[in-house]
Amino acid sequence: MTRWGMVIDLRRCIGCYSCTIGCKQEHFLPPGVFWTRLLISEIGIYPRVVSHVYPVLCNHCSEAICVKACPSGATVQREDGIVNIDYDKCVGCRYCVLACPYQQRTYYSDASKGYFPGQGLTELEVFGRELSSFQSGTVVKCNFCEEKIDEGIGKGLKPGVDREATPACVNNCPTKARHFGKLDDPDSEVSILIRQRKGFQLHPEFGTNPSVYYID
Amino acid sequence: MEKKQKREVYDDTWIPTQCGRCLSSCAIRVRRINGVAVKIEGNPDSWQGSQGGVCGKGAAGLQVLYDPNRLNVPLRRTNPEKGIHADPKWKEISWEEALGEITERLKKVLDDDPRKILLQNTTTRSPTGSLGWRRLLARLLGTPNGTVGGGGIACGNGIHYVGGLMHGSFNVLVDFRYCNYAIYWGVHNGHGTGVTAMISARLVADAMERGMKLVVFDPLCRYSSSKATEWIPIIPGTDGIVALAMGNVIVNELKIWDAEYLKTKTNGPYLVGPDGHYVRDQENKKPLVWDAGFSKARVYDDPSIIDYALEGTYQVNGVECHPSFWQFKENLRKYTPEIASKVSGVPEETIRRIATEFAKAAQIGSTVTIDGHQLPLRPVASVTARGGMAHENAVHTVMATYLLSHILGAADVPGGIVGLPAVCLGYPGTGELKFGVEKGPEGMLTVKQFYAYAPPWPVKDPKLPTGAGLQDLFPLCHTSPIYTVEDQEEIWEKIGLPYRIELMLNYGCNSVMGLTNPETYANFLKKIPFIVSWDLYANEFAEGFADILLPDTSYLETFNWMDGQSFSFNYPYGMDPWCYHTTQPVVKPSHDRRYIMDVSFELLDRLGKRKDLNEYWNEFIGLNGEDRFKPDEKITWEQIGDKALKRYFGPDHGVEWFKEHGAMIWPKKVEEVYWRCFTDARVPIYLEFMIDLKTKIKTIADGAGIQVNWDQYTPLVEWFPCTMHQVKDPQYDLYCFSYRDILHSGSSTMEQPWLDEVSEMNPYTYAISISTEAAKQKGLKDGDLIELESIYGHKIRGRLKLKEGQHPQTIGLISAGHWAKGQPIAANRGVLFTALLEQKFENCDPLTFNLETCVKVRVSKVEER
Amino acid sequence: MKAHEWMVKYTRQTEWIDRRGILIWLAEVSNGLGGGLYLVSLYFNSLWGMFISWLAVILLKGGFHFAYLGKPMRFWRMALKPGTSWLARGFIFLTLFIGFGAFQLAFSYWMPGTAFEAIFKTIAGLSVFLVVINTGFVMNYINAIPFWNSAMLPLLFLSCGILDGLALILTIGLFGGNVDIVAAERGSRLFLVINAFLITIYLWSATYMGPTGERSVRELIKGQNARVLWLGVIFFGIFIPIVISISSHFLSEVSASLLITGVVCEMVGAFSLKYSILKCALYSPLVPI
Repeated sequence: MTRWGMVIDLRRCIGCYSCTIGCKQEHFLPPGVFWTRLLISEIGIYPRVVSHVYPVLCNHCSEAICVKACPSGATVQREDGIVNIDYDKCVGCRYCVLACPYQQRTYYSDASKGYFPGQGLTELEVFGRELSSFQSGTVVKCNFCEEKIDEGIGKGLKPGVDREATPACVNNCPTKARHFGKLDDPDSEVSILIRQRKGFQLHPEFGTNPSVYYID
Repeated sequence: MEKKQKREVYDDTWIPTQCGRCLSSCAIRVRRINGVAVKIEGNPDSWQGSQGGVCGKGAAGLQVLYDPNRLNVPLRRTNPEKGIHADPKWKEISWEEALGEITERLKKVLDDDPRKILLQNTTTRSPTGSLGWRRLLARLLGTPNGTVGGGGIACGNGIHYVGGLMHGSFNVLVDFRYCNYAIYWGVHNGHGTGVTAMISARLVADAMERGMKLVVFDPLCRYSSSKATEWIPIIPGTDGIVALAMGNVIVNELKIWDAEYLKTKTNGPYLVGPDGHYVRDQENKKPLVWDAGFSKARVYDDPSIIDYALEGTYQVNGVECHPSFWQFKENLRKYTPEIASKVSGVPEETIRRIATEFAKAAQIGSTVTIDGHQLPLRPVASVTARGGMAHENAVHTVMATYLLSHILGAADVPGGIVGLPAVCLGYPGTGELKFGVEKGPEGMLTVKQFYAYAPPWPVKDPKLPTGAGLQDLFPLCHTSPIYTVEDQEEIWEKIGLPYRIELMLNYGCNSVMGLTNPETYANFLKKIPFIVSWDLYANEFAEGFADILLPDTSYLETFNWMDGQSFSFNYPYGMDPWCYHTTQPVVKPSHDRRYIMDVSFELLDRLGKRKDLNEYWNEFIGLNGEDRFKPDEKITWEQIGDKALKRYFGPDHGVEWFKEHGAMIWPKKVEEVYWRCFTDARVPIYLEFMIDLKTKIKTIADGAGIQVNWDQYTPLVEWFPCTMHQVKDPQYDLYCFSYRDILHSGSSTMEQPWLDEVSEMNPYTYAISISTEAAKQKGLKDGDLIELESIYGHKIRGRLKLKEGQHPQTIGLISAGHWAKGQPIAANRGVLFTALLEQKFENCDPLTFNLETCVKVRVSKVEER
Repeated sequence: MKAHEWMVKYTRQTEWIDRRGILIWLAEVSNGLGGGLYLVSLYFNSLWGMFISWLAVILLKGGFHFAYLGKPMRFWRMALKPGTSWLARGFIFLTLFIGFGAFQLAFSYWMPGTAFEAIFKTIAGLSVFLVVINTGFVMNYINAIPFWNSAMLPLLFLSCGILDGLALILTIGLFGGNVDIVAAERGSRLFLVINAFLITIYLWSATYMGPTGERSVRELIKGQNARVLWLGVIFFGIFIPIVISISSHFLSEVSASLLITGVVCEMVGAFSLKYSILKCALYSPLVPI
């Protein structure tokens, strides 16, 4: 069974935020909502300092805690591993927001807020709400651009290989630090990278078995 | 994206065009659905950029299009008061009224003295041809006076001059495909913002994965320094002495150099006499070399020379002389790693070690075969740009860092430092778009087409300036700092400038924020009776000083067939293919926005300059016979573009073809990329011309009472401390510098909400960073409100962020701090670094007049109630 | 927390305490009061107690939860996933309690002493017991927050609830209800000690739940929230009531006002404890530190 996964190359990432902004653009996300972001930190003692830039996003865990925690069944896991939310079913209890160890879920509260406070909504925002509407009072999160994947597969394209079927954050990256593909296929690019570069998951001790791996 | 589509989609197109958020002009594709631009991605089919990706700024470009604060109609200032915080009290006017007034004013000034017109263009926004616009108007209006903002005077003068002198090119980068060991001096190629940023990002990521070692000298551990194999903290402005010390270790201790390269591609073998000048043939005056094979002096280009001597003492024409390489080598001896360490803070052992690693990695003598040509392989590169160079010792610093590569023969060969394309043998189908380098006087490299005030070689003769920028007197200076120096009026009086600037046309440049202290600069702007500005927003320049503000089209609303900076500017370098792109509108300009080129054509028509205008383009494109534009033809920008593109690429490749395909791409030839192996031209490791140049300039300057640091006019590359290194007052104990965040191009990107959001998520973008060590000593904590006071008495305030990865004697920030009402998202974010600076004419880099961009400060905590 | 420190430093949960999240705290407080009072009322057989607590659970606990939801009109959906979700289970327990509690009250009022009354008392009692400890499990389930990931939590909430209940039943007794005040007092004394004991063990063992757990406790004891712990939980919630309790044990008679004070202090203690647990819940950073 296909299981989609992502590999993020920390060595190649330069922290340009293109994935963060590209994702917001792809899904017409409102202000304050991020489906992927960069975490910037440093460790060490001067002058031997190590800087970290960690792109983080929903891990689409195969043992997703949020799916189990959701009381209404709004959050479900597809057969291919993508965890998504049916906004019509979400009651806005935010239990999933608390349960996610990676904190990648956001409660969307105020639909009236636009990007230019006090200046109304721009043409892009208005159009965006028609193409991709969110309901205030529900929880939103990354969905691995499932619309692109599904439509792409329908056209016979390969997600992770063909841009049209690949998540926006992967496409946008200027250093090709993100890779997308089938984790269940041992010869896929992502599987090879995980094997050869000793890919690791974030906080595996939570027992979530994320579909997002990091290599360095 | 088609999640809950309620509307029917009748238009879903991807348009190939170019990004215009910084000067890299990456190739992008923009998706338009039902007339709304909804997505920006990189163009995967082009090497202009990252082959499919974009940076954050590029992705955020949609918000330039969809921003309620965009200028939509021409505005007139009704408040005669001008100043940093003045309220212009804009009144909306018609284009007819605006153009009418501008024409009238221009006519008056043109009748009086066209030199009273100052043209200013942005260097951060591209590719709407800003330098091309300026050149056009400069020629047609007849004014020599042009300028740019900080992305030019602060960041450009030194590096571009030396790039032209040593590589025939605007800038020099690393040949990442083959390089194994790269050294960056205060530059973030491939990890930050700047020329060819995303091209470099793609290449350097591959190179480092392949195993290239990257050493970065920088006071701050961010971007390149944080991705580096080794980060070496250094005191700002001291890169030169460290590079010289490394050169000393290489040539005098390790005794490693590429003899073949130095003998044939540099003036290393040219004999230098006791007066510092070349020893010349008494008849033809050509410089002499010592033929070690025949043991006699010969002119440098004598075909029978067996072997050039690089060292030794010789008697020629009755004087004792040495090859200039020997002079260079001996001169380096005084730059010991110990002395360099004291000045720069870099440990002595590190300087020696890096020099040794670098020299050994050069693999002198090795070769590589590319496209059937066997070429020298020198996989080491030492590059610098703004951070290392933007100081009072600009030229000498750049020379010192570049010479490390030249000593090892790693210049414009595989793996070494390569210039942005300096040679093009022409588009294969037509042979057009040829440009290149050649041997010039004294066998030295000369470039036929250079973007600057004058080509770097041969040096233009200085004369008493008639241009306000004084480039006539200081011919190595490209963009003059005169408009921002505090002793501007004094200088003009000294040279007896018979006019002052009375009209300024500004294209998209926010020089109020980008130069030095705004109050000082404001004094100059206030004296200009009439200022016109074209821009996307009302920014600090416009609100404070513009009389008429015109709404320009953004890059997503514009057709542009040329990159105004010239073809060699920011195109893929190394063996990446040639990519000639055009920019096209994704949506029609909304409201009453008009593209500056169209408006300028209209103005020129009204001034009766149509004939000159058409002739300019005939000449520019190189049109002949029937093809030429007739004198009175009302040709448009797009028509010119069509002609130009067809001429360059053939009759089937006009505007329509480019609108469909976006770019013409063809492979590079090895002779173009590694032209140095195919060109018999030399570059100077000994700047002999400086001696005479100094005399000539000084004679005139003394007469006018103008003083600069003449010591820097010296043929050998030396270390010169800057003002900041000589500050004695112990209170001012921190070097304050600014740098570029990958999220921003100058100050022009801070209005986009997406960029603003992520800037807040980043710990450093809008903060002032200081090392944890220094903070501890001063009792400062994360989040403290602090005040910085420079030695010039200027003060700024901002929030502190402690950083472990920072040199303890420094404090750094990105220059921000907008206050204009026309950019509400950008307002009050970050701090304005440039407010700390003050610049006197004589304290600029005396050769190219680069500004000093670092200043000593003292820091104090501000108590908050 | 500044935007750039989010998940780079230890990060507090904010959804269930900040801004609108205060409703969750209020709901949990009502849970303890209402649910605890019902259990205790069963023991003391106080009909008033049962009725008041039943109302409190519906109107307060139910009301606050309802008000907190992003889409309150979809509340019924919360019953759909009891197989995996503790929140769903809690909703079902609540519904059961409301239903069976209604029946129980009806029987207790109109047909006291019957077998039906006994059955409904049992079932309602069981459901309210589940409602009271449910919050503990809802929070315990979240292993992302080590401070909550403790087996102690359901017990602690139960103990708090009973203590609240005893305090309230005492009040009802003082105001004329049919309650054995002495027994209530004795019960309070016992549960105060048990509660103090449980809190201590809970906090102590939380420090052994990795660096995040330890950090949470440190935040609780020394950080921004220290006042709430030391003043609210320890001083008002444990110390004062114990003093009053001991003095009432040795003195033959204690004034009603002193007892009321003790009651109020106990409740302040319980409220503060729940507030602190919600406020000091930390996530581990996502990046190496």
